[in-house]
Amino acid sequence: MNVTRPLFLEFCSKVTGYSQLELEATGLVDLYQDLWGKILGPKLADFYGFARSLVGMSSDREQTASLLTSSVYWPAVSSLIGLWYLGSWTQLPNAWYAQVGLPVPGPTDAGSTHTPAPIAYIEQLSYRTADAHTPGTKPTGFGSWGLQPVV
Amino acid sequence: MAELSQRIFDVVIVGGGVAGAMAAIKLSRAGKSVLVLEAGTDAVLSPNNYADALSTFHAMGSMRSTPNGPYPINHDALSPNDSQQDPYFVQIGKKRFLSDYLRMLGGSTLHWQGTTLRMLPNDFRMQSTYGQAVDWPISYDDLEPYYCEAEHTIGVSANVEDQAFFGVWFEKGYVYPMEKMPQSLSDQYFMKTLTGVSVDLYGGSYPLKVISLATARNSIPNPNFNHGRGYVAVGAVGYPESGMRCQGNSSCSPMCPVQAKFNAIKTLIAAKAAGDVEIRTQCVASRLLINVDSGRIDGVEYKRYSNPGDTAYVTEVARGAVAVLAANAIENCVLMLASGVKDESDQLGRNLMDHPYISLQGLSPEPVFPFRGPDVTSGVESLRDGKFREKHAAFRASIGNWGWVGEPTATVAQLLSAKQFGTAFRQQLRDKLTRMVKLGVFLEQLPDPNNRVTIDRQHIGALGNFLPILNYNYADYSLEGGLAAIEKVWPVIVEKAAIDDRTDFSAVPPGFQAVECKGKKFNVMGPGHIVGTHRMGHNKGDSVVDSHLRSWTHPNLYVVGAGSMVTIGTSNPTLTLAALSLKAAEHIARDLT
Repeated sequence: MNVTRPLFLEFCSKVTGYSQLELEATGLVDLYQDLWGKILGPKLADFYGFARSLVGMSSDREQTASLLTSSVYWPAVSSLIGLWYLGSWTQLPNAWYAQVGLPVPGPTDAGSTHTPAPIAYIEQLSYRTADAHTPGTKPTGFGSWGLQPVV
Repeated sequence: MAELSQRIFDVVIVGGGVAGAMAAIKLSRAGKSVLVLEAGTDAVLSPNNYADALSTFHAMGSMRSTPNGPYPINHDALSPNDSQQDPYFVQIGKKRFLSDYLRMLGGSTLHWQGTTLRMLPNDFRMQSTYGQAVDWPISYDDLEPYYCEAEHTIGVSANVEDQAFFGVWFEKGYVYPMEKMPQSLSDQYFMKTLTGVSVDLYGGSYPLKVISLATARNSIPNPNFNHGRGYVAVGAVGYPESGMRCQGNSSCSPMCPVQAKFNAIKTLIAAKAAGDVEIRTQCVASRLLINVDSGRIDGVEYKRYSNPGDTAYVTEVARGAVAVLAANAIENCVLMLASGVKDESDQLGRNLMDHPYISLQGLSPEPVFPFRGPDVTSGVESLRDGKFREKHAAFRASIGNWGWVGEPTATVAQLLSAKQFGTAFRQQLRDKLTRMVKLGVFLEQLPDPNNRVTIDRQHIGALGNFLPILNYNYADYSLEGGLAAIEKVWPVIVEKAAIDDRTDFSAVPPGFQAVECKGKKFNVMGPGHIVGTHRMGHNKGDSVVDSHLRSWTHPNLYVVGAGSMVTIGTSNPTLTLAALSLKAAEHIARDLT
């Protein structure tokens, strides 16, 4: 049983602005949690501690923002948001790896810039945020572009 | 195979793209035997392989950078921009030539936008009307029947009333095969806000007219087409029931998943079905065998490789009564130069043209919901002709349906660097993406003898074939047209359509290069409109081919494609090159009987 999955999902929901149900519906949660685990490696347990405190906070946005964006995890979380929205992981700066004490990833490691799977491209959130669809997938039908989107 | 090599065809066509496909179908229907030699693979010929390319496109994700991206790299017939490690063009000019093409069966129609505009009558007579460039040996009137034929063969969606302007005429009662494509919300917004708005260019006043574009993607067949016979849309290769209508996949480039957009493979398949056509892929034409006495082409030597990337090859010769070069403007030149084709005009390889492309972008006051539908469905078409062409380039401006260049990646990155997250991130991204509008300006470029394709033994590529050496630059005539678009037209649109102007030339996006004109810097890209390297003309002293696209010096050699065009005008060149190819094929068929 993957005990951290609900926490990962809740955290992703908080940082992406999409509900847990919407994220679940992409089919990407397991893929991304697995990737996230590989990227954080030995720091994963620390991160989940941080995530638990963050999702447990009241809805005070400023407090959450301050805790999140000033944390050592922000560069990685920022790339995680990018992953959800664009379907690609962007490699973090070497300075971040030095700061947290992790090795800089090689060109084929999980932490390198890459699209983890075709479905990550297909289900990326950016286009649907704009009431559109990822290019080359899920066409909306002849002439639909001349009408207001139906969501 | 040996037996096939011995066969003498009526016509050998070099190149399995749109120019070759048009010639093949016309000659096939005329009962001529045809061999098509294609340098690249037939990697997307079968439905399964096409699906593989689509998977590659998805797997490359948002990181794909070029239209050639999803198609397999083939080092034996490399395409420009395929590979940074193995560049294909040798660029020696002041500016880089930025357009690409795809060397594969179907050619660049696999990733083209599908815009199929006719040229304007004045585009054919730039010298006599505006004192610029040179006149063609043929007029719009001469080409009109072939435009109709090309629109039928390709399957074009448009309506005559939108396309008949600046002297473009149609026969009474003519209708396009399919109705015009539905126009996007962006188009509708600009049509509403720019009605009655004019701009001043070089002392004249010009209206900003937004009209639908003629495009090669399947729309609703027009029952009145072809004198009431109607039209049946042509679906995907191998899956004819798929792609009967554009579904709005929003990925015309790099590929239409359902092939609702025309590609040349459709025509090649039809050509095979219509008669005696053989297609040989992975055969790179390397030399024309020229008879020293008669000047006739005795054969086309080609190098056949078994698998892409192989260094081993066999050299064979294809024989036909007529040879047709249809390998694209740059490849045709390389082959002719490598073969020692006689050219008394000294025009072979010269006058390379393209449409320098500028992206102007902003935010509309209300959402227009881009990133849906074909990339362009309308344009500002009323600045494509006028007295200002005495002074600077004409241009057309496509209304982009896919937001700004490099989006949505750029805005996501920007919001993240501003430390945005959660619902605020989502809302800000939505607010911006849904209001993105773009004008893509295509600038006319005049023929310049210094913009040139050459070859040199110092630059040899795979299979021992020559690499194209390109010397390229932009003249002030084009760049001043760009300045007119940026400084005289765009500000009027920004004001009248209440656009929040976000055009920024300070950074050069991938695929673009910086240019400067009269102290103003802006960025241009190449849209793949490769024109003019073996121009047609009035006599052997001024051109490489005659008005039938036949070589002046080698009587059984025809050189088709956009390289034969004398000027580029402002129309995307595919429809014109298709019409010219059909015209040449008609002449060849007549010649052979």
